[in-house]
Amino acid sequence: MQLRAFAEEGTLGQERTQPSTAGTLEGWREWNDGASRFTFELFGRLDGRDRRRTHGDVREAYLTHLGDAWTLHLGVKRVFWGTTEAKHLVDVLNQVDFVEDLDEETRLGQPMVQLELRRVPGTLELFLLPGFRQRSFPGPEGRLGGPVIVDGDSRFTASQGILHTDWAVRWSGRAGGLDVGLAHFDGTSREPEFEVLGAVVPGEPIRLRPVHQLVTQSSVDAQYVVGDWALKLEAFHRRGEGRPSNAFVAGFERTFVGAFGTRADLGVLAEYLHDGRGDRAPLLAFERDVFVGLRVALNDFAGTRLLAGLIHDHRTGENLWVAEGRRRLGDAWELTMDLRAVSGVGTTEPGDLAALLDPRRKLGLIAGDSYLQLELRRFF
Amino acid sequence: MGRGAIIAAALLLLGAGPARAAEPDAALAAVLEDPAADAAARGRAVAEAAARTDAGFGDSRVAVRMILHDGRGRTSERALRLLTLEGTGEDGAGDRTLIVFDEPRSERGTALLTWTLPGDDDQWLYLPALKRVKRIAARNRSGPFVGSEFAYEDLTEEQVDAFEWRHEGVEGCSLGECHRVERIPVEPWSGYSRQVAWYDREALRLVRVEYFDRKGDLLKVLEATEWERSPEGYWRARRMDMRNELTGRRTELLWEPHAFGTGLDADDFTPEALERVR
Repeated sequence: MQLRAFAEEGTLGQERTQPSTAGTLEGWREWNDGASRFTFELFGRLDGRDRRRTHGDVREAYLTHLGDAWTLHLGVKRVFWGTTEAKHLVDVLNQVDFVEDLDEETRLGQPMVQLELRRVPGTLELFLLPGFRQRSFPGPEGRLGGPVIVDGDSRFTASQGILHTDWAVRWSGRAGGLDVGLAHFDGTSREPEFEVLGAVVPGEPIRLRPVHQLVTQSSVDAQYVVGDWALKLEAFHRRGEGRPSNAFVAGFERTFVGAFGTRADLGVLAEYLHDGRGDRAPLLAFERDVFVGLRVALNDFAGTRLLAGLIHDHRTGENLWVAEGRRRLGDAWELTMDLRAVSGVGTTEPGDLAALLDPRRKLGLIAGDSYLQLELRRFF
Repeated sequence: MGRGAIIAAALLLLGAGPARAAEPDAALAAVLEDPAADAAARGRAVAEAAARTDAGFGDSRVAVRMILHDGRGRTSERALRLLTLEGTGEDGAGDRTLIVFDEPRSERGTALLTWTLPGDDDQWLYLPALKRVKRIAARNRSGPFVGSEFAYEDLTEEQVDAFEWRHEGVEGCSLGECHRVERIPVEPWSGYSRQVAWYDREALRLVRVEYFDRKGDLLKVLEATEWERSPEGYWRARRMDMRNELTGRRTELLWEPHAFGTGLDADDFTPEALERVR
């Protein structure tokens, strides 16, 4: 059960509240003395306002076979790559379920063949990714679309379109306090660019079509832990979207165990985000931003946790505030709180194409969609 | 029977002789009998003998129920499983431990992997909702583990080199007679200034530990009871009680019987394997 409360009415007159209900069903079965296994996770949401946010997804449904020095996964699966908190740059295999959350942490299931080879040294993983999942976008009655409506089917530069088969390879290894992942991806970019559909009429929502380019992306993600410090890095080099580009996120997390003589753990986070695409970077991108955050774990019965942070663009003054908290209520219930708020930039109004394309107003799109979300979860 | 033999037997019965029979571990007995061995050497010998009682277990699996009491009548429960792979000893590598959460249900599938090493351990946390493996700073070991009175460092393998030891004598305890040993953590991130541990003479089981905080005050007391010997010959407590002397909070650990030699191998204890954990 989820309720979103927005600070103001939407630019297209959307309601200030958005109630919805979602469910997840997961399970697994193994045979062959544990060497073979089937894992599944199904997700569905009914949204009280947005027909497009009423959606279902096979998050996972895959077979696993464990060999002596290898593991094979076959089916729909989610795979996460990365180390940083503010942005997940190198995590490229799964499409974002954008209507769920704009933090890019909720992702759609991707059909794949994943072969993991263990004795290399380190771990080598090979991925074959047939088929493309389109990013989910809110409808005209929904929020977080701002003054635009993403409409119609995506356009692809790959001639096979949605049926293009992507591939990827990743090596991961560790030495002492260092974990490193090196990856290469060749296929349709999960991150869309947009083109305007039809005529732009002042006061009317601008209709956009997602465009997905064929790209190659080489990336590194690393984390080094020493004492109370964790140093994190994600970086990629990407070709295929105009000029080749680089992007990175780098930062640290410093943990204070038993902070101020209490049972609580406190973490201080800081990251710098750079996107070499600069003004060409897509909407909602962070081209030159600083992230600072605070993580608190109370270590109480209810497992109370809070992460709060600010992503600040020091050139344009745009701010994205995020807070995520959760605590258990008894054994089977959990309450979560999520805050997403934009400041430092005015709301882009419907039909204002110049404002929409202004690279100094990349958060203007959702500036009128700041919200607080409460969610009550029951576990069975 | 000669006169000397009778005297020796009488001495043994009276417990006045070199009580070799009470020390099952020959190497420990030799150190304790050696007048040149100081308290540090004797303490370390007790720890090494205790470690030897566990050698050769290979791997183990056990389920444990954790009951947290807040000292004001409220309780909360956790259910977890511990999978352990015995260390090879190569480069001082200790055991590898995997802790998997079954309850509370909101945490189901969360898993914590630890490679015990000399100096800082390596530790990773798996978050099933994000399919994400996160490396954790070693200092996290001294904080409260899942809100309990146990710190992570209280739960893992007792590495002999992680402490400086001092034998403080033999005294009565819940399992008869125990070696009383003071141990001072070597690692700067430990939450403790020192501990006093009681190992029983018969089988070197760790029956009681007193933990002193960084200020030197008595912080917590651990008691391990309901001991059972597995068919393989390893002693395990079925019950542990950790009491916080400063706050009145306490945590019970109720252990299922351990299963040994279950076929786990090093491939089951890697960060990549965490998503397969069920």
